[in-house]
This record gives sequence, structure tokens and C-alpha cells, in this order.
Amino acid sequence: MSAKFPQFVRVFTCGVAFAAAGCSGSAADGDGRKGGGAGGGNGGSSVAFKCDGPSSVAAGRWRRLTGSQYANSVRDLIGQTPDTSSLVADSRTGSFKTNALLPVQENDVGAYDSLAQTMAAKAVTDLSSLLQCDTKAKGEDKCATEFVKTFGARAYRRPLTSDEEGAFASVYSAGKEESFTAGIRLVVQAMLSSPSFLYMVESGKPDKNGLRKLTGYEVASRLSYVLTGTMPDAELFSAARAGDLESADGVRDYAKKLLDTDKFLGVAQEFHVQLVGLDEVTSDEVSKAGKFPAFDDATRKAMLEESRNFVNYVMTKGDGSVEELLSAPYVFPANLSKIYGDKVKADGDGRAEITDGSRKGLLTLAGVQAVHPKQLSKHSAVNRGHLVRRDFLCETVPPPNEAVDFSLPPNAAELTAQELLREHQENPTCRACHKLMDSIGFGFESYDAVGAYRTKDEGGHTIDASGEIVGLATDGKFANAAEMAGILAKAPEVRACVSTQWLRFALGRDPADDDACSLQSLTASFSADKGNIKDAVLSLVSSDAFRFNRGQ
Amino acid sequence: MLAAVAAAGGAARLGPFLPHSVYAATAPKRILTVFHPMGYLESSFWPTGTGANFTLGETQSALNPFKSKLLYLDGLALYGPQYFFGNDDNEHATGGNMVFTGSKKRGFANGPSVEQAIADHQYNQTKTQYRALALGVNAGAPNEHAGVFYSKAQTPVTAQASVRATFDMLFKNSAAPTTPGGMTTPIDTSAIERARKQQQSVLNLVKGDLSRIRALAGKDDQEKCDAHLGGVSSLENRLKLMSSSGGTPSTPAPGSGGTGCAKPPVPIQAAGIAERTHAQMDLITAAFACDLTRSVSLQLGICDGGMDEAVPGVNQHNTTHAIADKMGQQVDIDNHKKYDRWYAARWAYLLGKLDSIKEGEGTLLDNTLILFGSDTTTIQQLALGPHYHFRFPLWMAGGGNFAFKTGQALKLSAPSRAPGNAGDVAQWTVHQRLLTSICQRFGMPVETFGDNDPGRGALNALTKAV
Repeated sequence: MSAKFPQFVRVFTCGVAFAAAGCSGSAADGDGRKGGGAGGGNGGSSVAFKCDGPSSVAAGRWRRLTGSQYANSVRDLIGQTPDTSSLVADSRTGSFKTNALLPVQENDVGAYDSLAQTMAAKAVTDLSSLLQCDTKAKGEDKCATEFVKTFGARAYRRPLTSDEEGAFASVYSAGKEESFTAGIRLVVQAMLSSPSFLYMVESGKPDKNGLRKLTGYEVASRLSYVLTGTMPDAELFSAARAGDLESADGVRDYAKKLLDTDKFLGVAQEFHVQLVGLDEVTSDEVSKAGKFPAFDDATRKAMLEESRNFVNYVMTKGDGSVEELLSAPYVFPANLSKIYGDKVKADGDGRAEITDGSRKGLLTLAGVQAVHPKQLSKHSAVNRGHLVRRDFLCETVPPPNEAVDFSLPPNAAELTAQELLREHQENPTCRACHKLMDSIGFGFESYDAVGAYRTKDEGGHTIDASGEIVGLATDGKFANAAEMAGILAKAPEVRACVSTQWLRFALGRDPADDDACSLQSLTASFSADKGNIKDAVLSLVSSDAFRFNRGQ
Repeated sequence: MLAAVAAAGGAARLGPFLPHSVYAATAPKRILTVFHPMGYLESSFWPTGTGANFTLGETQSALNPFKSKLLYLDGLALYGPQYFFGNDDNEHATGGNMVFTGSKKRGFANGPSVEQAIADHQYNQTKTQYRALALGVNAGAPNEHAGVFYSKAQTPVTAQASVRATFDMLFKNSAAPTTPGGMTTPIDTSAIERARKQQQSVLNLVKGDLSRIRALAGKDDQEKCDAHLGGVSSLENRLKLMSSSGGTPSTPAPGSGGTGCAKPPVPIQAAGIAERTHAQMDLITAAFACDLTRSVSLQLGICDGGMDEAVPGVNQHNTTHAIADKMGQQVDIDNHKKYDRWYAARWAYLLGKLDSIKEGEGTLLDNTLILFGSDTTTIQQLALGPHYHFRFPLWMAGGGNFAFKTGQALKLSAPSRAPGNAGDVAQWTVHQRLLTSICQRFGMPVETFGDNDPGRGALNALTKAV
């Protein structure tokens, strides 16, 4: 590959204190457009370098299982799901819960310990099905030794070394003094407390070019957690054991099977829910000052549910593409009549076609609008435009500086969104950044603070939802949210960004120069036709970035 | 760990109420840091008068019952990148990263926050059950723009939002009485010893696993292994306390006369913001009274928000802006004051709880230094109004038995107007100096804390309590 790759994330630099500079970072010219390359920082088609050289990948970090990965893994191991509310919030990479960045918190180690005790005690209530071993015929100790081997290989997601087996034998002995059951209980507890269970330990084996190639078992874990949200199943373990995951093609073959499972649907839902921030719709931080009675707890839950149903439908009955995801003219109105109105009726799939153009695609779902911004604001257009810039165009727009005069005009309540934010367009300090966001956000003015469609604003003015996505390679002007959705659904800049987002989600880190070729193939896949999500994910999991690591 | 001990003991319950291996001769020194976003409206926050002869600010009148235990320092600057440097460090919400750490950089702080540094110092000398607790209400998970408390450089602490989880961790299997001085549950010591051995075997295995994977880890991942090991060490320490207890089920803090330690009521998570805040304060009080820890941080909201709906119908963030936007129309001033009073009422609840528990010659509050801070504050001045960092409301309560002389409103010399450039900061007393003084009162041998400027040591204006 070439030595220099365009930036993956466009970073704008806003005005400095008391100065009139603007969003004028290295990647943006006066129009907020990136000079030369495709927007979004990583448009695949225009990048001029070859990817037929040696493998390349940037350094990554080990991840601790997220709360949900942990709960799913424990469930798969012992058949019972732990309550993880005692663990502090997962740390995020961008929008995604990954537990990659921050180290474990001191008191969370205690929480893991308590959970391990509780779950181990539950596991041994049905000892015979846990052990699958005839203790009378074989003897308790023999059964314990077998259990350590078989259960251990699942909990550690690889065979134990003989040293490790010995260490578990000591734990078993410590418990056996009390009883055989206590011995097994203690072994389960120790396994669920072990870092080898709690972390995706990825050391790999030395490879060319200073890289480390992940072992088959490590690849199996990555595949499984990324595509199914839980530990590998028996088939994937066998594949790892048989060496089937050593090659990119081998990984691809097994990934294909996983992509057709319901578990992948759950992952796809989670990816998109986190991407648009909807996982927070039920949190206390999202609140509308009691001014929207429709936005009650039931509605919030229904909004979350709707987004899952929406993604589910796109992936199963729709064509599974980014284009449909961002421009599908339907909603899932169950329990949302307070928002969508009584006339929007669900069909047998729970789906309602929207024919009047008031809804089109993921971004126009009521819940997405309701969480952007989280609180009532006169400036929703800024926040909603920022959502598109940051999460669908992968651009970083810095926050305003402290010295900005935030004064609203005295007659603010009487103004339209455009009038209110006119200063953003006229004052050069504001304009550089705000033209990137506000003109997108105006398209969402058709939705009120809880996502209900409206044709007039609070002041009674007819809504003008026209605007422009500045900086695209093609014309970004639109008359309303539906037209904007159509533009986003086809824009190569968005496809490139969605590629970056999947890479973040799958690896728990931002892409760097060394990931250029992996990202290029991913982006090429997303850019083809309507951007089939499963095809792109296959491209991702068979890439170098997924199969290799580099020392820190 | 301790849950299994209790389970193993059958009827016997052993809580985390165990004696220190070494009793301190005097009551413990405790630190509590409390964060809330966006400060106060300056004009109605600060006391009038100086020294011991002062009247509380209008919005802070709920604190009147504790006036003799408060300590105000008027004239501090929250010293960081904002206003001083003409570059993009000038950001909307850097104050939260700086206020308790003294860090001057953007993004994650350069070092630990003051209560965590003190926790390390104290825990080295006396092992309490928990080195530190980090609790929060609407605090979310820290990101690079919003992390308030730090265990060390670049490592923000995620606040535990679930009061139930904290209650379970501290008190679920506790043998502590339900009322101060009440009866405790007897203990089956042989069951405890057996459970202790079992737990130690698990911890040994975890340590072995950690050491093996650490050898495979890169630099960043080694740090993760070390953090995990720190958590395991805490567990081991609790186990040691357990075995050295000889079955003593409940040990209130030394000097308390055995009366202060009691289980708080089981908290309900679903309640409103005020109720959840109070539940956290109940837990803090009980944890201190039972000497489970000597360092706690309480984070309400995040930088610039998170508590916007605490006062129904009034958005805190919008209110701070409205003050400057309109140069203080009465409705906005009133709204801001509603928030300031709402917070003062929470602080009064906290101080009331701590002050209600006798400990030695005084109360728990006298042995607990509370440092209240924010990311920004508000003045009625056009443009500068919201998110201001001067005459910063970093104030204290309690700790009168060991830290500083309380019942004081001190005035530091400060410029009459905000500085417009870096040169002017020399005229302000920077907040790092206060953090330095606090560390010194906990016996830390430091001359500076955070990114203090050379030659700017502790704050001389404060009078030592003893």
C-alpha cells in the first residue's frame, strides 16, 4: 500500500477565542469540502493506492466483554443469565459499547467476583447436567478433571494448558474439603472470575511485517462476539480446532453461517441502535421537561422496540442494504400511536408504509429525533445536523468555544428555526462550522422534540424543511427530510463512513493508516449497488484488520 | 467474595464490618468530593461578610443549620486552558476534567482527582474494605470530553449509578445492625475460615491467570492487567480483614464509640433525581460510619448537563445561557435560583445526615472534608455569563476536626474583572493551590497538585483546624 492514506476522520477546527477563524481544518476547504478526496475522508473509489502488498493492520487493544457479551456468555456456559446491573457502564468507542479503552474499575472486579459466586452456586444446583459424567463409575475426581478440561475450554474459548489445568485442580481441592459439589462450584466460580474469560485476550502468533496473526481460537472469539454477541458455539470451536479459521476464506465461510442466525440480527439491531444513540432513549438524561405527555415510559420503550423491528425487517424481508436502511418509507408503529397518530396502521409484519413522505429511513424514526437533542432546545437543528455529520459522515465538528456570545434575540420565541439560527450563517465565526450542521438539521424541523411529524412550529410558522448537505461530491440540496434521506442513502461519503463505523464496532478502535487496505475493501463492498450489509461484514471479517494484530 | 462467606456460614452472616488490622488512635480522616454541573448564579451564591461573621447567599440558605461547618473561598480561578490560550483548547466544557484534578489539558486529565490521590495515600497506611467509592446520579460513562474523577492519569472513573448495586456490595450480607448500636448477628467462625480458604484459592487462580496474560500483553493491555490486579488486591485485603476479625461482625469507625454504624434502608432505584441523590448520600453516610472506605466521589450529572430536568419544567443548561443572553431577565434569574436552591437542599440533606452521627468528640461531618465543585459557573455579564471559570464556587464543608477551620467566609484578593489573556491569571488564586492544601491536610507530603504553576504551592489563606 502507499505510505500515505487520506484521513479516516475529518476533523474540523472551529474558531478560537475571540477570533474569527472557522471550520478550517486541514481536511476542509472554504466550502467545508475536503480537497481532492471523496468526502467522509475515505471514499473507496477515489483512493489511489494498491492493496496487493503484505498484510497491514494497526495496533488494537484487548477488550473486556461488554455487559451484554458477558451475560450472554455466562448464559451459554451454564444456562442461566446473570443480572449485570452491578457493573458500571460499558465504555465506548465512538458510539459503540466496546469496553476497549478504559481499564476495569477496582470495584467492578469485586462485582465480577460476586456475580461469579452467585452464578456458580446456581450452576451446581443441577450438578449432573453440568458435569455430564458418571461420578459413581468414574469417580468424583476423574469427573472433576474432565470437567475442568471441557468446561475450561469453553470458558477460556481455547483449550487449557496443562499448567492451567493444574491450577484449577488446586481450586477444586480447596472446595472438595467441604464437598464434591463445593469443589465444582469453586471451579466454575474461578473460571467466571478469570481474566481469560472476562477479556478477549488476543496475542496471536508472530507473522511477517511485524504483525501477529490471531490464532484460530482468537479469530473464533472475535467472529462470535462481533457477529453473534456471545461466545463461540460448538461448531465454531471445532473449526478453530481443525485449523479452518487460519485463512481468510475459511473465516468467510464460517462467518456466512453466523450471518444467517437470529443472533446476528440482534447484533445488527444493536449496532444501529447504538449508532443513532437510541440505546439512551429510556435513560433519565433524555427528558422533555414534562411538556410532552406522549413521551412517557411506554413510548420510550416502544421507540427502542421500533428501531429494532425496523432493522430486523430491513435485514430479513428488505434487501439488507444501507440504502434501504436509510431510505425505507415505513415505520413500526406498535404502541406509538401517540406519536405517529391513529391513522398509521401496522400490517401483518407490524410495519406501516408511509406514503406521504413524512418518514423515510432510520434517521426519520420518531425515537431518533426524540434523542437528538436529549433535552428541549431551541437549537435542535444543530444537534440533529451534528448527528449526521458525526455518525454518518464521520466528521468531527468541534464544540463552540467558551467566548461565543450565545445570546438569543429577544424575540426568540417568535422566530422560525432558520431565523433563530441566522446568526450562525451570517457571523463568520459561527458559519464555518454551523453551515455543516444547521443546514442538515433544518431537514428535521418537520419533527418536534419527541419525533412527531409537524407542519407548523411552536410559533405557528409553516415549517421549511429544505436544506443542504454541504460538502458532498454530488448535489446535496433537498426540500425535506425524505429527499435528504434519499441523498444520504446513496452518498458514497455515507457508505465510507458506515464502513468506518462497522470497523469501530468490530474492533473497538478507530481505523488508522495501517488499516487502509482493510477499510478499502470494506468500503468497496458497501459502495457496490445498494450497499449490502452482510456482504460488507463478510468483507470486514476476512480482512487483515480482523485477522491480524500489531504490538502496542 | 463476602457473599459466599455468608452463604457458607448458613445462618451466620458476616458483613464487611471488620476491624482494621491497626486501629487508628483518632477518628479517620475522610474525603468526599461532590460534582454538579454549571455551578451557581454568582450573585446569590456567595456569602456576604467575611471571616466568621458572614451571611449565607440567598440561594444557599438551606445550609444555615450547618453554617459553622462551612468554608467559603471567594476569589479562586478554575485554572485550565480556557481563556488563557488562543487556540482550540478553548472548549465548551473542559472544566469538569480539571476541577478535582488540577489538570490543565483538554481531554482526559493528566493525573488523579484529589479524593483518589488521598485514597491511595490513606489506603497505603490503613486498609479499609474499599479503597474508594465512585457514585453518581445521571453521570453516564466518561468520554474524552466528559470525565470528572480520575483514578490516575488518563483513567477516568465511571460512577456507579445503581444505588441498589452499591447497597448490595456494601451491605447486602452485612452483619451490621439496622439501627446504630443495635444487635449484630452471631457468626459461625469455622464456616468463615473454610469460606476464606476457598476464596483465596480462587483469587490465587485469578492472579496466576493475570500474570500469564500480562506476559502476552502490549503496553496498554498491561495497564489493564494491572488495573485488574488492583481490584483483586482489594478483594484479598477484604479477605484478610475477615480472617483477622475473629468473628467480630461489625466494627464502626474507631472513635465512634460503636454507635454510628448501621445499615441504611434498601434504596429504590426507580425514584426521582432528588430521591436517588439522597439514596446515594445515605449510602455514603453509612459507608463512612462503618468505616468501609475513607474516600468517596459523588458525581451529579456530567460536564454541561445531565441534571437538566432536576427542577421540573426548567432546563438547567438553557437557564445558564439565558442569564447572559438577556442580561438577567427576572424569569431566568428565578429559574437559575431554582436550580441553586435545589442543589443547596441536596447539600443540606447530606450535611444533615453526616452531622447526625456522633463520632468521638464531634460528628461524622467533623471528620469528613467535603469539597464541592463544578465545571463552570454563571455570572450576570453579557457573553461571559454562562460557563464562567472565575470567582469559582469551589467550597467546602466539614472536616473541622482535622482539615481547616470552618465557619469562615474567606476573601482572596482577585481582579475585579475576568482576565482576557494569559497574563492576567497571575492576579488570581488558582484552584490547584486549594487542592494542594487539601492533600497536605491528609498528610500527603506534596508541595503541589495537578498542573500547578511553579512556585504556586498550597493556599496560605486557610487556617489549619489543628
